[in-house]
Amino acid sequence: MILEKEQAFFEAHRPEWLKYHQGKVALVVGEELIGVYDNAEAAFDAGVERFGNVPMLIKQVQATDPVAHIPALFLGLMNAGI
Amino acid sequence: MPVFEFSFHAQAQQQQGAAPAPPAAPFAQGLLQCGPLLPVQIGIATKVAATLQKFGLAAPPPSIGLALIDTGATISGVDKRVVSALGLQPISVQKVFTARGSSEHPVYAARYAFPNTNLPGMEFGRLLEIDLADQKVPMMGNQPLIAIIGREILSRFILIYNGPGGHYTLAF
Repeated sequence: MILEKEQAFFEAHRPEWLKYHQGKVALVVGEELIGVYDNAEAAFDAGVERFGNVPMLIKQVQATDPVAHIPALFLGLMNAGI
Repeated sequence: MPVFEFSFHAQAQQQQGAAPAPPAAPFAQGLLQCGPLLPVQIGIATKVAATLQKFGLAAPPPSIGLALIDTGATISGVDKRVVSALGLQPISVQKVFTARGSSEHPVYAARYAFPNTNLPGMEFGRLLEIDLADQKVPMMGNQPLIAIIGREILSRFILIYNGPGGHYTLAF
């Protein structure tokens, strides 16, 4: 599973972070909250600056995560998949 | 307001020894058959390139191909071959609705440009990894389809799809 450790850490702290950082973007590497930022680009810049080109979790702090839709792929409307 | 207009042109066959064929007329069926395509160049973010340079590593060359504008897609997607060629690292995980419920897929950050257009590029684009199965577009010189442009990027543009005229327009 991709970013398993980071996702588990985010989920464990989501209720707490919602109180203080709702709407902000969290940067998590391993089991550490590196910081919260106004947008994903700022979080990405900070992460690359500190850790380089490594896997990291950049995720908005909100009660539920939005689900994306790409009907052309999952309905098989084009020769492609996810 | 700057405007970019795209239409397909039939590829005129030039006979051996004959004078060059005149520019081909717009080919309205192209849009119907292929959909709204856009030339795209996807590369690593400038910040990542700078980091690689610090360690004496060269940035991988950007991938060039075509993107399909998909107003049905929430998020944009990039072909997994591009992800691999650029050495992109995941920055998030996105739940995607599928016929069997939702599943999670990696998201990457990349720099986007639209070569040979006047459209502004993006330094930071969130892209879902997808499998475009090495598709090529014969009507566009067999260029590879490497990305899907979803509503996250389209939110910056006005899109006019002109079916009868066989062209589309992006304004920004």
